[in-house]
Amino acid sequence: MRSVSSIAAIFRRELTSYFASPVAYVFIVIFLVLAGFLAFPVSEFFARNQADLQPFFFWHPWLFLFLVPAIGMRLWSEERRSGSVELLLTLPITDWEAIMGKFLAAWAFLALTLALTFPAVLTVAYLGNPDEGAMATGYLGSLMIAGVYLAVCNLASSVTRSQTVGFILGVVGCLFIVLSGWRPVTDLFAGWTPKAFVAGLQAFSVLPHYESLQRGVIDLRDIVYCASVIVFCLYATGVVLRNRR
Amino acid sequence: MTEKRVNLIARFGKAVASLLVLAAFLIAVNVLVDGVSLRWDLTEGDIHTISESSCDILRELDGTVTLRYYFSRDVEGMPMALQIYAGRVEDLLREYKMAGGGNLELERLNPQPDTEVEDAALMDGIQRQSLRGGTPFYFGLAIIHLDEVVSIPALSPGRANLLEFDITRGIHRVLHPQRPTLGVLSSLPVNGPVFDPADPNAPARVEARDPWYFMQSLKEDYEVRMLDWRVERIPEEIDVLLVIHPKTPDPRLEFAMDQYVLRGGRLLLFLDPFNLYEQMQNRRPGMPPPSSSALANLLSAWGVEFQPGQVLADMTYRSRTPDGAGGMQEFPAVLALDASAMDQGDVTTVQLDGILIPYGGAVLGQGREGLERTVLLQSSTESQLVNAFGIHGRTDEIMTDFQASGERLPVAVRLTGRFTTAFPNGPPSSSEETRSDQASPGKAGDAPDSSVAALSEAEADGAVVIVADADFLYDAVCVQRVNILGRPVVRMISDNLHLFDNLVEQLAGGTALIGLRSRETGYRPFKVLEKSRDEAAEQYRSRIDELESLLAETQQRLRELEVRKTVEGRFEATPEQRRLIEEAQAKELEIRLELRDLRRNLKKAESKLEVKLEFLNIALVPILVALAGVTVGILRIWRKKSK
Repeated sequence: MRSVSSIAAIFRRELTSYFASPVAYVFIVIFLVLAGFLAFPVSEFFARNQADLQPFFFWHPWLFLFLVPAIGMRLWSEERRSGSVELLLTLPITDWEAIMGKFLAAWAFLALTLALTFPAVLTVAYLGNPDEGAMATGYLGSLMIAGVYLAVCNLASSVTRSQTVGFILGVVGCLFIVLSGWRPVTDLFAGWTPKAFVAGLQAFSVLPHYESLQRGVIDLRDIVYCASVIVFCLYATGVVLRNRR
Repeated sequence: MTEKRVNLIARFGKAVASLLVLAAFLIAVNVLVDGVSLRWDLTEGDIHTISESSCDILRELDGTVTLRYYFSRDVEGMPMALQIYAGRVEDLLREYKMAGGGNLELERLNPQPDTEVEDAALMDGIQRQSLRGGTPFYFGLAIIHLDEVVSIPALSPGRANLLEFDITRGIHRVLHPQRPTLGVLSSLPVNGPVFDPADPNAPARVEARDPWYFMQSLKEDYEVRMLDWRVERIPEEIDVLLVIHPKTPDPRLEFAMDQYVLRGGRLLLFLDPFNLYEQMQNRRPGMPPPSSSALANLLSAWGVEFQPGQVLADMTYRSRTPDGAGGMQEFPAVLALDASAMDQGDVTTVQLDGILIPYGGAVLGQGREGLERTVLLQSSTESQLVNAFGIHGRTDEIMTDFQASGERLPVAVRLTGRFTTAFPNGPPSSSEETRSDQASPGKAGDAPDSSVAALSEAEADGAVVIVADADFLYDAVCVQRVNILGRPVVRMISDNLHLFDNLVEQLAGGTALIGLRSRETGYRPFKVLEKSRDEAAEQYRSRIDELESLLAETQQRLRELEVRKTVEGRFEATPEQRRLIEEAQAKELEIRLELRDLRRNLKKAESKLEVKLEFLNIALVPILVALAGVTVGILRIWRKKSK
């Protein structure tokens, strides 16, 4: 199929460009060091005496919160600023192929970063007898939340030419997705909005879905939620790009 | 407005509209999916999925059952193990809520001291526990339905594999608060003395004895009805039928039991190849060994076999008692079964240890097609069925002539499913029976009800548990009565009665409870870490212990010196005493310093592995990645330069 090969072309171009600059390496090193530091000494990993990766995965939503916008901010702001967006969109590819290609490349990069945390898996496997199914869904959950954040940051970076603004908007957007189920936020709306609205706000939060995946269960609801957010944000990115031309 | 402007607004409007439509569509999809429960539990042992059996019990909910979960989560110093376990309990309760739908309410409460919540917890039967420092906390579950409350006073990680069983059983109990009815058919005087010359199964002498201990505790939880052996139909209201040591073959009895099981009845059957109790009562020489042989037809219809007169000897589980002369006497036919002989997946046998089987047999056979057989207790491969005749005196002979069968022989089995009748041609003819009916008309069992057609096929799933030993229930095998400060106290000397209680309860609870299994615990300790800590500790442990006792000695000596000084009535010590005191004090300081060093080294050694692993996780891969990045950077510069 021609569109698949177009997407693949964009995908490859994007991914190789990541590794051409120091950004990728710096990002990976920072993520790994922070993730390891938070998981082991901060969470008293060994004192817990449980062969699972719960203290490791616990921090990911917060780590990704400011690291994923750092990746996402480059996606469209740069191209818009340098004007290469127009060039890109006049190539014989459709808008959504370009969007998909860039998104998938960024997601693949995040997946690679996650994969480099494999020493943690080896550690628990060596020290005890971990539940492999639960660890697999843990990684899946982490990948999904990274994808959700990335989609939001995709949208954020497409509305501005400045990378900084893109970064900030991305962080705010992801923060909203995480905190919409938080007590202080729902309490703000609880008094004067209908119950359905507050319930909807709570349902909007990504954390319950993430925690459900962490337990070792793949629930259709969680997959549908993540897919919905990603689809909406990518579609919205397309709308924005087309209308900002 | 210029056309361009109009176009711009139109485009903008269209964009926003399309976004709203998509958002509405996606929200609708999510709401739709919310009602669907399609999930894939990838954990080992499916710890987050409640089993089919629990779901079955939840399906029959017709009113609201409330699960009130109490956990003092904010208490300081809550042990890690309890916090982790609390997480698991909450996960499982959420699963119950999802499976129970609108009929199941879940309340999560956090009892703090001196609050109303604490009072509610105590009223609901939750146990007040204390942490090491004395701080009280609550960790329990109350299950409420209408006016009935069943509580699990203290949730414990030690019972993690029975958590689902405890909750489901609690729900079942709260839905069925009436006491089940237990019917008992026994040839042994379990309910105290029986004097009935017409009863062929009654014991020969009247004993002046109390009911056996297990009967007393049964009566507390169940309605117990003693049935007559000549019964022709097991009454409808009997929830569980307990048959102990049926001796005389009686097709009418077999038919009654057959029909009972086909109606979906639950039977707990104790057979015995050599009944120790009877042997001890009838000490007349030349008497044949007492044994059960009354149910051959039934057993073969069920696909199992019990050989009367064949006792199970086992060299692995043989019991040993001191023989009074400093040695041990061994009884290969009196089995002391430990956890390795029990089914670790079954809720009735898990967590049990120490089952005594004196002169029991084996229940062979795989069970009829269509029945599910679970082996609850079994022998080791070093087992052999030997002849029961005169077995008391043949211990040495049995041991020397022992030939291991090489297979594990079942001692207790459970059969569930649709049973087939042992009487395909209908009820046995009742010609011989009328004689005994006429002899004691007032005592006749239930007359055959000819208006009810005999079943040839099972109406419902039945359950039969067969234990190949009736002495299993005998007081001397189960309990010991002692006098503590003048008050009689009963001590358990084996887990027999625990197993018995579990079996009766499970059978009384019905097929759903029978289907519940013991689950994986989800507790996964760092075994390697524990081992390496122990190894490191070993090196230092002995020296530390040595020093600690030396320190205690030295301090004791110091105290003695001080005492001596004052005893002699002086205010100051003699130069000699002063020297000794100084020496002792110097020694004490030396020991303390060494101990401190050793303890510090021990800590370092214990955490050596941890430090290594932390480095591996935090620094290793980042360093490699950084190196890779630097290499790539250098290569590019080099390539650019060489162009």
